Amino acid sequence: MGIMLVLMLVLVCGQSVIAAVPDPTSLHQARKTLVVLGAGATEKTHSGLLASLRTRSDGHGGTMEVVKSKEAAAKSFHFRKWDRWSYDSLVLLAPDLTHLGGEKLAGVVNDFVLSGRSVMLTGSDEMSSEVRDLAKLLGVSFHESFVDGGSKNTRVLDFFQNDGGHAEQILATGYADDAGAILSDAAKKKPLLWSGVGSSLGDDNPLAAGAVRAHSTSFCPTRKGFMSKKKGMGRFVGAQISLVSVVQARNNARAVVTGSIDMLSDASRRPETSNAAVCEDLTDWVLGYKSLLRQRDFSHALVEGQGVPGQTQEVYRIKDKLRVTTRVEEWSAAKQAWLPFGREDLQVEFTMLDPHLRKTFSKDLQGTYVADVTAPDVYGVFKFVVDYNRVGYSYIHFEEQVPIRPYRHDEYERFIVAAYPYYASIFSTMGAFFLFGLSVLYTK
Amino acid sequence: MAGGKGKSSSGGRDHPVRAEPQHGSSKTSNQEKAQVTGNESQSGIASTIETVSLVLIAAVAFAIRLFSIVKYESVIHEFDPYFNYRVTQLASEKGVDAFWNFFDDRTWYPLGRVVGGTIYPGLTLTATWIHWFLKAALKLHPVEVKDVCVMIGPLFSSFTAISTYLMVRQIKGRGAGLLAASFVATIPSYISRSVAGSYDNESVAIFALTNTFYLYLKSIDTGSMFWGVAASLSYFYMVSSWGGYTFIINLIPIHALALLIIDKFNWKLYTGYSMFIVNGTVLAMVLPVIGFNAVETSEHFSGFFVLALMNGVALVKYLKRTLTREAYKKAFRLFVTTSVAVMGVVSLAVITFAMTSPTLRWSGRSLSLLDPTYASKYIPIIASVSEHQAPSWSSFVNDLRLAIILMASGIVSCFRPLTAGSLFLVIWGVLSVYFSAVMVRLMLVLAPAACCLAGIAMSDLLEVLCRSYHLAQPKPEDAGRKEDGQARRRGRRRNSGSSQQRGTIPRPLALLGISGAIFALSYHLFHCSFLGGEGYSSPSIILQSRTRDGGVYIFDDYREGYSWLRENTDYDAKVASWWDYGYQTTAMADRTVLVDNNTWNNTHIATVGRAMASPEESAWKQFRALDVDYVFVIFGGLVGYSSDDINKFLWMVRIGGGVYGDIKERDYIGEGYYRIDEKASPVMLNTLMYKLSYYRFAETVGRDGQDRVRNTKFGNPDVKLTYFREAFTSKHWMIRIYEVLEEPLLEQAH
Repeated sequence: MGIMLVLMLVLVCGQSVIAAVPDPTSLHQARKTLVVLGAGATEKTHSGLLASLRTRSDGHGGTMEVVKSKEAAAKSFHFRKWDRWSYDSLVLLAPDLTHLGGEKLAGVVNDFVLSGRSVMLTGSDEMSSEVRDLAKLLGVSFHESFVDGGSKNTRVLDFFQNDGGHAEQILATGYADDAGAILSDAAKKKPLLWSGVGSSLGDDNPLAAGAVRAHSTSFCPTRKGFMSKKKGMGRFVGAQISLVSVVQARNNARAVVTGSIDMLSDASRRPETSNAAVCEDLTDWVLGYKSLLRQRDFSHALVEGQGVPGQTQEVYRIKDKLRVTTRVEEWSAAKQAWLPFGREDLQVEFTMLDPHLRKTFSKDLQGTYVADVTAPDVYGVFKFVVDYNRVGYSYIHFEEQVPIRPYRHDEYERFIVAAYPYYASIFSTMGAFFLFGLSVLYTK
Repeated sequence: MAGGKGKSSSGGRDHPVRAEPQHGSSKTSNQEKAQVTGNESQSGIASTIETVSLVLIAAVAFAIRLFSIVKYESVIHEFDPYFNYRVTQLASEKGVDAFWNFFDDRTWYPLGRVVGGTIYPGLTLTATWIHWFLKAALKLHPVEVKDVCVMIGPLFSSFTAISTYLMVRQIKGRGAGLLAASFVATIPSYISRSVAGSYDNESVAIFALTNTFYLYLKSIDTGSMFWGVAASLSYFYMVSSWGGYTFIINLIPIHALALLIIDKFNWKLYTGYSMFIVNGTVLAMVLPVIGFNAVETSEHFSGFFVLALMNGVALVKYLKRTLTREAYKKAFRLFVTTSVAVMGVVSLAVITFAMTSPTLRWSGRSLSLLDPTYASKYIPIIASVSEHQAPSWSSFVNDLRLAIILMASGIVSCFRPLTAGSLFLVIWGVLSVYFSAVMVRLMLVLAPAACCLAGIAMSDLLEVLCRSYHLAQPKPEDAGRKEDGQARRRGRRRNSGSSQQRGTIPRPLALLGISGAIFALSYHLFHCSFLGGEGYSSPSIILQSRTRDGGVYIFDDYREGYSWLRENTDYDAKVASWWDYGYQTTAMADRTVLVDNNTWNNTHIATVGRAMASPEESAWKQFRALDVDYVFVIFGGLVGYSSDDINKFLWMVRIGGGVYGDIKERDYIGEGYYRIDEKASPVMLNTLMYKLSYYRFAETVGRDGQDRVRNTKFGNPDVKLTYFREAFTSKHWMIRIYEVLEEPLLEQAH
């Protein structure tokens, strides 16, 4: 089972599914990775990457299997058997691959991702249309040229930021501002040597992000080496071009999509480039060795108000003071354990239609997130929402429904000062009526 | 003299009193004594017959409402009763205190509803206490809350018959009382709201209405403070039961004002009226749902205005009695000047106060009564309710039958002579005719008035006929007719003592008239029990149709759908539907709903209406934002069930469009009119409501199949759903439940 799937939290009705699914830690250790190599001598050109993958896989208690594309495409290769997946993650270093285990590549890998498993997809200017389709299903569309007759795959060019004057050998520095969730700061210090087919991400796709984007001088020639002036061609120009895309599905399955298999090669791993570090970070991320979060132990309790302080109630009253606590843990591949999450930008919202309040958690010494909130002066069916949505990290979305009730009829304040004139008027009227009655009845 | 005559059909209790001096003058004191004893023994028989008749009428009132149990089963009916039933369960399980402070978090999601403060608690408390009494005091353990709720309607109909009897007897004598009671016990208009299972506010409120009127009339008749307080307590029960109490609080001042105008003011009226208004208003303010409305909204102002006027009149009368003529004239002038000035200032203040609200402090429902076009212009949600429509003419005849025919004659009878009580009936009758003509629901207020007036008319008619019959009896040529001894005896007495000859007709005509009246009454009763059995006993949650061979076919789709929801969905799942089905969903499926039949929040209903009227994708986003898990629609196209959501759809559009500007009614109108066939507007064919209703419909009836409600082909046989998944469709396709899908795991590039 994919570990990401386990982290998926049920959004509805405030019930966490964690209890219902086996402990992710045990699943994590049984991690099986499949690496598919291209038709050429990929084994040799990418030996550095393979070695690094192997080391980490062994070190983190997983297994890794490397197959050639021809072998992997055959029907005899069991990638999916009787609807069970033989692997937990997939690294495709074969841009020409069209089939996997006898099934069409795009379809089978799409199902693989939907089941919560992760994939690293690499393209090149010789990639098959299946790879292209698969990228599209993941939300990344590789550039296609409109050149008649020629290859559909057109490389990204940059005449200013390149390596040794070769416009196709781009030196990219447009690293995403992901606060280290995917790319470490060390990797971002040097440029990335990149050569291949660019891609664009939809504007309205919240799941995909460009881990490395092109420089503003980069472009993809769509018409015989030049840009077309047509409208809507913006995605072929500048920072709109995503060189390395990261996708995290809503079930926390991860995918890395890049149009450059060369970026991963031994030839690119030079001291003046960051390729080695970037490749290591990307594979760490996609294989779930980093930035993997889980949330647990959400609770709320009364601090001050109607009821016993410190007790969790099903219903609170308006203006009660409440304490919300939760724990968020990050998977440490090195220690093979869940450790408290370090960042402090986790927020809780108290929502009824709209958030009525939003508060940043503070952390206590045990790494538990704590927030004290005051229920708003509005009754209704509220829900606590913890929604942590940062590029690179697993999504945390948790809701718990908590109705807020109005005052009972006997909980309002009695004998308020402002009402004394009214009390006085009532009692004086009663007294006057009594005297009046006496005078009417007993005087003649 | 206790007055009263043997036959239940005769009117005027003052007859013997009038007759007596004549007896005395022509006969010896012994004879007179004998006459008195004779009368007393007769009144013993009379009161026995009267009591037995009344008990029988009450029994008929109860029994005629049990058709629904016999034909269907002991279930709660329709829509609103389900909510009443639900809170009654709560009140009987967790106590009245829990009910009073009930915050319902399973309805109006996510707003919730403060039930204690927004409900008329009379019905619920009545049922809870009856249940408690049966269970705790009488130790009847198998009695369930549901059975009590089902039986509340019939039980209170019996009470209504009794209080109607008391009221009309007060006004016009015993015969009229019994006839009025028998009319009110069987009138179809009232049966329709009080059959067994129709556990709604109206079923107790009509009793409270007639009882309040009875006690009030008693108090202004006797001038007793006791009856005035009793009337205000009864009014309090009415206020706690039904929003229709505003009818009482306006009718009584109008009546009092009319009495002032025709110079029938007396101290009895003053005592009764002021006791009623002051106590009644104070008591009404106790209820959270009324609160300060009882003194702040325009519906209640007339009572205070008349009270002030009555005090002025009382002061003037007092002055006239105590002062000399000259002093009185001066004082009167002074009083008129000051009171005009004071009233001017006060009414200016009141008008300023009323102007602070855009509706002049009238509630929407009251405004739509005063101006019948108001609701359709400004508040579609009020206009959309079927019971707020104007009734058709046929329903007056159908629901009131003999009562509406005799009503006019009853009004004439009330003027001979015009007393405070009969004037009250006249005003009640005339006003309720107007109100019921505006809103079909208020036929219910007309029904008892029509019954009282019809009872009086029938009683007068029978009295004239019987008197003519008896007057003519001793003539030799008629002596041989078969009559029982009692009638002969009474006839003789009446004949010998009577000098009044008014309104007599020849005997054969009288006989014919009597038999005609008996026939009309029997036929009326036959019609009423037929309507009660066939027309008004359907619980509307279970439907029945006749098969070709005369058998009965049951459509139980509603309960099928609700039980599917209850058994197959998460307990916290949110279910969206049009508001009509909200109460049923919370009560029967036990799932959280967005809107329900307590239409207190127009905006929230408009939100649901707008989503239903939106294209699929946009509707999906709206429902997702409201955390909706399931949507269901009622679809009658397969079996021809006409009150389905497609027929209600234009109201959704109107109500949605009333709040959200992006919904426009004209977009949904096809060629010429609202239609769903090929000529329907493309917007209409694209709405969620259309798609959910006709999804896969072509698979059942074929691409050229007919929608059996609209009797047309349907416009789009190839409905495809992307964001909703069909979860359940009931046997006759009447209830179709769809699941709102989660967001897709991956977003594809285009």
